[in-house]
Amino acid sequence: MSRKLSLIVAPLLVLALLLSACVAPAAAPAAPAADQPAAASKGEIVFIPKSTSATFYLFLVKGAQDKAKELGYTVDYQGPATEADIAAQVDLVRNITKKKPAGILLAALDSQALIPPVEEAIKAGVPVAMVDSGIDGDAPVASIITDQYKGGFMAGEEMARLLDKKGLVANLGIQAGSVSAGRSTGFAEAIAQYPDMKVLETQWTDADAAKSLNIATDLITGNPEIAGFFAAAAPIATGIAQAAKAKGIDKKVKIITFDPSPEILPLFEDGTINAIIAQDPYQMGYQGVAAIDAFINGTKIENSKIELAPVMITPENYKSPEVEALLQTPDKFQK
Amino acid sequence: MNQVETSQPSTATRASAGIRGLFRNQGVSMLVILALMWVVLAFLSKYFFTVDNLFEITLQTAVVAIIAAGQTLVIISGGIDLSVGSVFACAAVVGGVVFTSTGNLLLSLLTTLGVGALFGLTNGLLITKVRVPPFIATLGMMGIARGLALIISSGIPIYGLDDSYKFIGQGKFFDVIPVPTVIVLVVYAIGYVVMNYTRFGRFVYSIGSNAEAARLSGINVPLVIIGIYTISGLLSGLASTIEAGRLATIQPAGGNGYELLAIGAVLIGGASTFGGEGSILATLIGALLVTTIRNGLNILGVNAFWQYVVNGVVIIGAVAIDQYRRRR
Repeated sequence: MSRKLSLIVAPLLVLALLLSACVAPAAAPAAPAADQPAAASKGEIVFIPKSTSATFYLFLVKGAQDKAKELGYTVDYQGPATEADIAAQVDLVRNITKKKPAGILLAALDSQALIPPVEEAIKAGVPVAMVDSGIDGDAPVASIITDQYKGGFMAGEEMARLLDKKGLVANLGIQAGSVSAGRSTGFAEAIAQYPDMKVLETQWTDADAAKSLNIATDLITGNPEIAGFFAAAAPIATGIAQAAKAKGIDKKVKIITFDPSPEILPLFEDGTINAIIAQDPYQMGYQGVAAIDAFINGTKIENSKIELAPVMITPENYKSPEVEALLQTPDKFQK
Repeated sequence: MNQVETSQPSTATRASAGIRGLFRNQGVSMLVILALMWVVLAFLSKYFFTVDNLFEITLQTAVVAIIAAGQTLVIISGGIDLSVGSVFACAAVVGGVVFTSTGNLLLSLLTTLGVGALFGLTNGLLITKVRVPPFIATLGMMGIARGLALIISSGIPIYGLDDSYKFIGQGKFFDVIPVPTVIVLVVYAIGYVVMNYTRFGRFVYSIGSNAEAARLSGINVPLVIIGIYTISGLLSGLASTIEAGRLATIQPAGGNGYELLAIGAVLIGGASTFGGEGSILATLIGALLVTTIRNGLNILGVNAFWQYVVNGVVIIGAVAIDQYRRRR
């Protein structure tokens, strides 16, 4: 085709792809930040998750948006692509601070590295509330986080109970040194209490499902007597579950994971996954926005450091209303 | 290098020159190194050298190997395709949406392949018609495809893929040969024939050696390049169907870093970063090598942090030994 024509065609193709993305989600729900009321806004609160790849944060956004709608703010959602990119999150906080939002909700990838940008933001007049994973020190106006260690520990105790306190188990974590590594430590230390149980060295998966699948398969190959797996995040459990199924041992091994994400629930319902450690991301978002609003209005914040204890979901309590509220099903945030 | 060659005795017989020539082929020497690695690991762990585990290695290699096949063409032509990981995810997501709304497996697979090819085509057009350098064009496309994958799926993995889909990733022929392994063999067989026995393959090498000379000798360089990137995109889409089958879900965040793994496999296999050199079979060996190391270290229970070190050392070592042998 002629030079001029193709110069037009190429960018048009790209444009067509972009437009199709906007039209296609007739079948799929709209992106979280897209549907905010524009009228009478008290400002924008930006939520920065640990990564945009986990469905967990979509529920946190929903909680934040609900409270924000009550109070008159809008919520924006920006984050690094993977939980491994701490530097990107630091830069992001700095960049967001420059546009002076009403407040920032932050789920920190690292409890130390995020201290300077948070302090800078507060000095610049932008209140910061920590959600899900906090930073050391008292700089933020509030923090509503999960007790990561406790969650992992609870998983370890449940694993011991399911296995009659004996057997070999594997520990698949997200990223060494990150805030969520507490889950893996908690699990390992819980298992260490039982002399007839052994936990393999923690494997780090960056919460990638394919990586977890390969690692879990290899662990099973190298340790055929393996009896249980702990997944520190939902994508890890997806990988482990498929590895177990492929090896034909899914009914035999016990799998415990964090986060009742939508893709995990069917696996839990068919018995492949035996227990889920649930956090309350909705509450974190909700309380986080409330805390920022209180700070802006000069109201004293009652409980500025809240550590939410995770809830263990088992087949016994699955149907109860309290657990029902924690399940991360898509209908909970689709408009 | 010239000095060394002239000082060598000219009494080398045809036979030994032939064998040395065979060893000069990076693909063959990497194969030898791979075989050696398998032997060593077999001694270190009784779980390594089983039919089951060896097929497992081919299974775990499948996804990256297929992407790397496309990347081989790209690199031989002197270009690079950084978008493969993101196109992998986006193609899978669009195919997944089709699957969950129509339940038609064939339609969904064709969509995935089509979307992959479309991204590749766009890359090709940007590179040839708009003259954006491959690195930049595919780097930009990497971001675009990833963003679109997350937008279309709203960041939620698409789950509930039924058994027909899972067969692609988890099925076995004759109960022992994994389906992905067969797919890899077919892709590489086709790739081998194309690169070594068709004009298109020869054009790819020519363009990589000297694009201007290729153009002057009448090759339609833009058309070939567009074809190369389209193939790369198409193969990324194909690879994503395998991963979706293995995971029984489609992860919009998936494929992260696969571009580096694919490029690594191609370069370990011996392709030159400047283009003009490389062999598709050597890429397969390169991909198997990388997976073998990881699989072996996992089975041996090596500490996760040391795995990074050992991985790097072995890869450098394998290629270094090979380079040494080449220069003799």
